[in-house]
Amino acid sequence: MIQKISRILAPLYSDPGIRMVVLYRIDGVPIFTKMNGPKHELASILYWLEKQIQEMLCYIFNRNLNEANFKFGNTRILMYPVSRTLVLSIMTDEETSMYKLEVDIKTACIELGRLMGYEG
Amino acid sequence: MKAKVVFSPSNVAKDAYKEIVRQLDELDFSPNFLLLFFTEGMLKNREIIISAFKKRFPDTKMLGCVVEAFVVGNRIWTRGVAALLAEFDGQVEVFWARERGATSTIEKLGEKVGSGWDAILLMFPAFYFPGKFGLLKGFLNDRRYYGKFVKEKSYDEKIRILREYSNYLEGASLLFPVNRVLRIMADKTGGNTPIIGMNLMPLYATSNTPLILADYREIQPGAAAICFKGRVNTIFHDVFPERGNSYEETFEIIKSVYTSVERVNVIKGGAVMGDVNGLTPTKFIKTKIRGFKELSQEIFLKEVEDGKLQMVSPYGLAFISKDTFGASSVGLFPYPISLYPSLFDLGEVYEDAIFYGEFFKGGVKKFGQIFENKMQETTFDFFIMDCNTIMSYGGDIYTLVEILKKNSARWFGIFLSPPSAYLPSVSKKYLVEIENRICYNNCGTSAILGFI
Repeated sequence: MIQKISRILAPLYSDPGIRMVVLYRIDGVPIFTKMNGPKHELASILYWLEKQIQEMLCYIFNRNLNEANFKFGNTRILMYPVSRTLVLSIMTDEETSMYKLEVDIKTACIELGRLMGYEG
Repeated sequence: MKAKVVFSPSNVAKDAYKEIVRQLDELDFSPNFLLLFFTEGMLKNREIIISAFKKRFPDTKMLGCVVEAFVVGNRIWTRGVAALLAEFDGQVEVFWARERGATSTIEKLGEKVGSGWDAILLMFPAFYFPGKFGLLKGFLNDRRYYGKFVKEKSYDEKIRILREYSNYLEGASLLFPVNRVLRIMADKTGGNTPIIGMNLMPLYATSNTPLILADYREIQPGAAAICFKGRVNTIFHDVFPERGNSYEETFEIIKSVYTSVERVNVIKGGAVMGDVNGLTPTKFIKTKIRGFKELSQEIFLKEVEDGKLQMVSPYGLAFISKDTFGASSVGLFPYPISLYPSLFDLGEVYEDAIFYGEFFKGGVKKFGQIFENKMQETTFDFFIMDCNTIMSYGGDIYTLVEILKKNSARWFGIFLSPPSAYLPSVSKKYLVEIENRICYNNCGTSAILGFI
């Protein structure tokens, strides 16, 4: 399963402009993580994300929040629900075209949803 | 028609190559044409992919370029590479030309193509971005002609100078005014064949682009065409209401389509604007929109070098045609230039133009109407969708896939600069019909080649 997830997310994490791709379970546990660049640089953001994730997930699933977007300096974090139990989080630098990335994230979410048997 | 789309959403050359080769191994027919599309992220790695196709299909008629995104089945990707391989039940040919100057190139191409085709897909750079030296030369000429333009007191002389500058841009193969290109091609090909124009203009510009591939050769800043004789339909669509029967009627229609509409006076000649309400076009846009960042010549060159120069603006000038009362638009951006090129010939449009902010009433579903308007059943649809939809709607462009599923058997689509068209018979009063039977706008158009 992890291999299949990795294959679906490969077009995203192989992009040098994307610093991190994480697939979270509803309880906030990451089930797939891929980082581009030094881990210590991303650690503080990961720590912050871990604290936010459960509340975010609550909003996404109980209040129909479609997506969430945070910006720290030149780092942006995007969160998109994949299914009723999974959220895809992408960390990117500010030079990445957000319009195009949004299309690719949606494609990845549809692929992941299909893999999980979730039809949206 | 037998057809197969092979693709990889990966920008990593070796992964994409492997995936493409694996899919090519499964091919069970001999294609007689191939359309190959790279996304921006694959531009640097194109050679390895081109070689994969060339090795297997050296004699297959081939055309290719860079797109913003592609649609394969139910998925849309803005990265990687995709190709349509097909065995068309008829005659298919690829022609190309690269001469000194845009007009000579198109004339030569038109002569090569000749008449008797049922559909032509024409690929050319609406604006060509040369290397750094070419751009610096362009800046110098902009200053030189602008110097002449401001010194001149006579209105007629000002227009003559603008025409001269326009001729320079066309002569250097930098500017291919879309309506003029289609007019020449229609004349040279007999006027009875519909032509879909892929007037290439990327969302982000970089040096020596747009890339154009014809029979595996890079031919930019030339032009190429793939011509079909057989069972193929061309469909053109715009998202706008029909045009009016006078300047005032069309003006009112434009007012209902766009936001922040304001009438302005423009001094123009050839395909160049010199003055908008007494200011250079770039100074004019700066007075209207304060959010745009200042672009110096150095930043401009750096952004072109990095492939980050934005080519799409939500603000523009709409010009109404004296011939048809249709309208076409020029996007405005505060580039470090004084004379502003237009992607279409401004010869036969009114001096009173309309400044606007872009806004599409009806949202992305309006763009999907092209699939609902198909008059004939097709076995395979190749479509070109306005890439501005990516900027305007982001992930919501998936609505198009839902509409496609209901109206098409099989398809392959690309997101590209909005296509233009020459239509021998026109089914409605297109707002974007800037000349008789010639349609172009900088946003809101799409086209289908439907194979029966």
